[in-house]
Amino acid sequence: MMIYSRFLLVSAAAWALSAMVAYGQEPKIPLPLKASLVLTPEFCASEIRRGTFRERFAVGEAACTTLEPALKGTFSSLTVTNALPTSGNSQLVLVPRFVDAGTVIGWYLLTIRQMDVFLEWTAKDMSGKTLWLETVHGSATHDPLAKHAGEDPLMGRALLKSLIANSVKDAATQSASKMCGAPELIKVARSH
Amino acid sequence: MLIPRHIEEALRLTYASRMRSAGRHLDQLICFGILSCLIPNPCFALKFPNYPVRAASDYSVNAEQGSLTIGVQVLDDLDEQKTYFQTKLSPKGFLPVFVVIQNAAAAQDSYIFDKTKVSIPSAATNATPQASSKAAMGTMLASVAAGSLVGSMIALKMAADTSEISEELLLKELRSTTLSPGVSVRGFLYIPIPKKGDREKVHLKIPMLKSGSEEAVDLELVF
Repeated sequence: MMIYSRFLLVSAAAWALSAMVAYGQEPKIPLPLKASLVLTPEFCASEIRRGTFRERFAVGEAACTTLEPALKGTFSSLTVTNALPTSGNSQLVLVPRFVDAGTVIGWYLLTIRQMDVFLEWTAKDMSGKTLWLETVHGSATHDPLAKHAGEDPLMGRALLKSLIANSVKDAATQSASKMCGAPELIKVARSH
Repeated sequence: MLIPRHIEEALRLTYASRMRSAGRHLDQLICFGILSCLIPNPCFALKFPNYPVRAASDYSVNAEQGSLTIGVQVLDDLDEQKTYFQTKLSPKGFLPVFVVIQNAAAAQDSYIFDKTKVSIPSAATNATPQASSKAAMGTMLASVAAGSLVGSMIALKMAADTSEISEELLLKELRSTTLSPGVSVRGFLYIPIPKKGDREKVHLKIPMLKSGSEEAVDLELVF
């Protein structure tokens, strides 16, 4: 009993310490780079047909509203363009591309319970040389027993839309984190 | 023989009571069956163990080019495929190959692995196998048409399992990435092969582009 209560006390202390550290974390310093985010009309309209029932995932539409706000704090300056910049003062050109998506369906009423998207990033310099390439995995899950307002109980258009939005949002967050920690981008930032 | 009226009445009541009780139990049994099908049960979930990872140079099929080392493990064995993917991929026309690429550079040389640049002569690349759900759909439609609840449930489970397998194939796939110094990358490539008969030797060529330059290193393997 004594050992058990000590274990609980130590666990609680460790949890409190980790919570304090997490709360007190410094916000990430943006990379001192002028970056251009290329969101072409083709990318914004991109759809992936995959999954058990060949569903159509409008991932591009979700990404074009999510990526800019998610990456805003990653670079000292971020401009959005709808084509590859040929001139200008950008030091880094970021080109996203969806490579895959998939879903896991529950075996009750065929509702989707998990969605995964794979977003590939190519970071180039102004001369067109590739500096960094990375595939980011975004995921979102849905609790089938939880109630969602306005949801179609079968394939669930509202549910699918929300899962796409959440998985793309997760991919955008992961992208920002990967870019911040990429040694290749840090090296470019230091050289300028 | 004449049975006294009160005994006959008692027997009739007992029989009716037992029948009601049996009926109630049957109802309960059916309800339990339906509920156990409807409520997600982790015991029934498919399990996908992670493929064991070793250093790239430890694999029997490996190659070294400068600071880059590639090692592959070919999963020709159908039982092994079943263990890691819950399905046999070779009869579906795909050979799973576990790839480990390691960048042992101490300096600041990063290399880019671009999956779209992987070439396998005489085979189409960049294809991810999809576990077919046609059987599940067929079973479900037939079961629904026949009014079979159990058949429909089995078909739903098959469709759900299929989606889980497809998802696992996606998650385990080797993706485009940048190998910073001291970093390794791993994952599966699904190489298209004939569905029947012996497969030919696979010649895998992976060009690795040096970050920020036009310089490329080709990693080549035959297995």
